[in-house]
Amino acid sequence: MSKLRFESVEDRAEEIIEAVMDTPEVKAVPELDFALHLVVEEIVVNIVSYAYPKGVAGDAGVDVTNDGGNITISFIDHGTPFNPLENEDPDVTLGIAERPIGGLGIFLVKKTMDSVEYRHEDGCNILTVSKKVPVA
Amino acid sequence: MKKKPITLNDSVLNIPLVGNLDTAASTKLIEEINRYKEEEVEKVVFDASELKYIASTGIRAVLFTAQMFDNEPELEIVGATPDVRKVFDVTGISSFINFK
Repeated sequence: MSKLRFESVEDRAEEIIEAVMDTPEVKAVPELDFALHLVVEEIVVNIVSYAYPKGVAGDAGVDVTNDGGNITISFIDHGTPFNPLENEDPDVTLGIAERPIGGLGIFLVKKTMDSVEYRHEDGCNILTVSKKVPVA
Repeated sequence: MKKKPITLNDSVLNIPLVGNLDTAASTKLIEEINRYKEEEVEKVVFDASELKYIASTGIRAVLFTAQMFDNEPELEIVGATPDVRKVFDVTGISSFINFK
């Protein structure tokens, strides 16, 4: 299991995404590289952009496990309580001109992963995503 | 990664998508595309043949382009990998785009 801790997340989205993608657990499943990159980026960018008020140096943690059957990534922050799963899914049947530009990120996360769970615990937002590792 | 410029030829706007179209790259791309908003554009061609990765903000850039012109120009994406194509499929906008 890899545990990554970032004292301050301000302006560090790219660095945090790269650190998660470089963990041995993620490296072990190159066939999920694209999907996991997408998911990690959406969640990390959300934390860096919205978890803390501007100018507040908030922290974040990422735990990654890969038990051979599933790869599981938990994102932890001490920011404003926010459950992204309460957001309504975008209406994917709308025409291209009527499509709202926002709201796609968490929807893509839900569609890409097998499970996405949120809990608020001890003042932390904890978002845990999991995906089955393809059998070789 | 060598950057290719956006070009406008005979009302066809060609937009190269190169490397990793992550949040930062998409924001820049939207700014560049926005410079063409006053132009007459009948078709937009995204060249994805050198595109390795696209985040939701990249999809947003495509949506933004589609909505920037009032005349609903034709949209085409050339050379997308299956992974990239899947992201478009999930968001439900593939049906508005010609994939080549």
